[in-house]
Amino acid sequence: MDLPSEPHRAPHPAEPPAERAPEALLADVALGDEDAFELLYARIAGPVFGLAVRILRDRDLAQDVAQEVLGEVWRLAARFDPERGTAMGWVLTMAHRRAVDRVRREEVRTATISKEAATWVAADHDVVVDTLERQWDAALVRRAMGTLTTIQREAIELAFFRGYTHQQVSAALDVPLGTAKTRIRDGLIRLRDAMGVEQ
Amino acid sequence: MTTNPHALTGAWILGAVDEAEQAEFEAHLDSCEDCRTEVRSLDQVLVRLALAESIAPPSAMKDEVRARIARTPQVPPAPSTGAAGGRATNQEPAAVRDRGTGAATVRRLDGRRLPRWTTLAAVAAALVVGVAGGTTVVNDRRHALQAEAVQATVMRIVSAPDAVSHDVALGASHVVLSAEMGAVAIMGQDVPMPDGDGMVYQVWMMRSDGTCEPGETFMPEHGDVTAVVKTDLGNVYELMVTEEPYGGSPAPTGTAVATLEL
Repeated sequence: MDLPSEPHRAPHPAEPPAERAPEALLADVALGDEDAFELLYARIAGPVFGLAVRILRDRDLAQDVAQEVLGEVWRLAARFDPERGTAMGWVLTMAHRRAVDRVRREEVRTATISKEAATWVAADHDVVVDTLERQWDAALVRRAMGTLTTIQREAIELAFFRGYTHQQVSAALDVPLGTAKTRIRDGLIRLRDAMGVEQ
Repeated sequence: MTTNPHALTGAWILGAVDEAEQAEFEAHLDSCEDCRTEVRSLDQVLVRLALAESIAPPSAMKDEVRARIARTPQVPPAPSTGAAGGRATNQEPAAVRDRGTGAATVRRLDGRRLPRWTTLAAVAAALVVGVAGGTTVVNDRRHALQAEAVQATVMRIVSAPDAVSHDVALGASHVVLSAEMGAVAIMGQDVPMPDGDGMVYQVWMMRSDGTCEPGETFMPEHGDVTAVVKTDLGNVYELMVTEEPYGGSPAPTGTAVATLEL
C-alpha cells in the first residue's frame, strides 16, 4: 500500500522464553522433575522414534527401543555431562546406539532383515509443524550428503542406518580394512561443514 | 594402542566399532582434548541426521514411557572426574550464553543453530523477532504456544536452502517461499485490519492449470501478521490475498487486496 517505513522494533518480550534449552530441561529431569521430562519428551520422542524406525524397519521394534531409550534418559539424566556435548547429542547418540545394538541382535537371530518396510504414518496432530520441521532437516541433510564422495556416503549410510561396524563397511565396499573408518570420519567432517554446524 | 585412535572419532560416534575398539577409544577420549572437541562437533552431525528422520510416535508410547519412569529410580550424578566442571550447574554451552539477545531469541524459536549460509535468513530472522516481540504478550498460554510453533515453522522456511523472499503490498509485508519445503511464510507489520466486519484475509495459490487453491486465513494482531501455508509450489504462478468471511472460502469471493506474481 505505501512504502515500508523504518520498521518499528517491538520490545523484547518480558516473559522468560517458553521453550527451554534441552540442557536445562535435562538438569531438572536429573532432579526427578516429571514436568521437565514431559517437555523434553516433546522434543526428543519424534527423532528417537523416527531414527529407530529407520534403523529397525519395524514400528513395533522401534517403539520398544524408543521407550527403552526414553526411560534411560530419565534414569541416566544426572550422568549427562554438558562439557561433552549437547543434550540432543547425548540423547540421539544413545538412541542410535540402542537401535543399532538391537538390529545387530535381530540380525543374528533372523540372519537377515526381511521385515517389511516401515509405514510412514504421521500422527493426527501437529502434522504441519512436524512435517515442515522434518522436511527442513531432510533438505539440509540431502544437500550435505550431496557434497560427499560415493565411498564416504555409502560408508556413512551403512554405518549410520544399517548398523555396520567399520570392518563390515570395509568388506561391503571392498576397501582395505582401516580405510572405512577414515572415510566415515572424513565424511562426517564434510557433512559437518556442509551443514554449517558450529564448532 | 594398535592404531591411531584419532581416526576412530567418526566410527565411534556412529557406533561402528567393536567392543574392544570402543573401550580403547573411550579411554583415549578421557585424555585427548582434540578428540573430545572433534567428537562434540561431529555429534551435531548425528543430531541432524536423526532429526531428519523424526516422525510422530504412536500416542500409546507416551503412556508406556510415563509408566516406565514411574517405576524407574534415577542414578545419582557420576562422581567428579575433575575434568568436567560444568556438570553441577549444567550451564548452556558458551555459544548460546554469549550471543546477543536477538540471536538468542532466534535460537530459542528454532531450538537449534541457524545455518550460516543465508543472509536472507538473518534478515528475516530479525523481522520475525520483531513480530514475536509483538505477539508473545498474550495471556492465553495455548495461544502463545501456537504462536511459537508458527514462529518456529517460519524460521525453518526462511532458512530453507532454496528460500526466496518477495515484498508484498499489504502493510509492510513480505512472503518467503521454499519449493523444497512446499511452504510459504507470510510476515507483515503495519497491516491494516480487513475493511469488512467479520472478514479475514485469505491466501490463494493461482496455478498454471487454471485452478485457484484456497490457503490459510489470517488476521493482523496489532498490525503484525505471521502465517504459514503448506502447499506444492510447483505450478503456482501467482499468490493472491483477498478478504473473505470468517473461516475462509473455498473459492475467492472478495477482491484481491494484494497479489504477487512469481
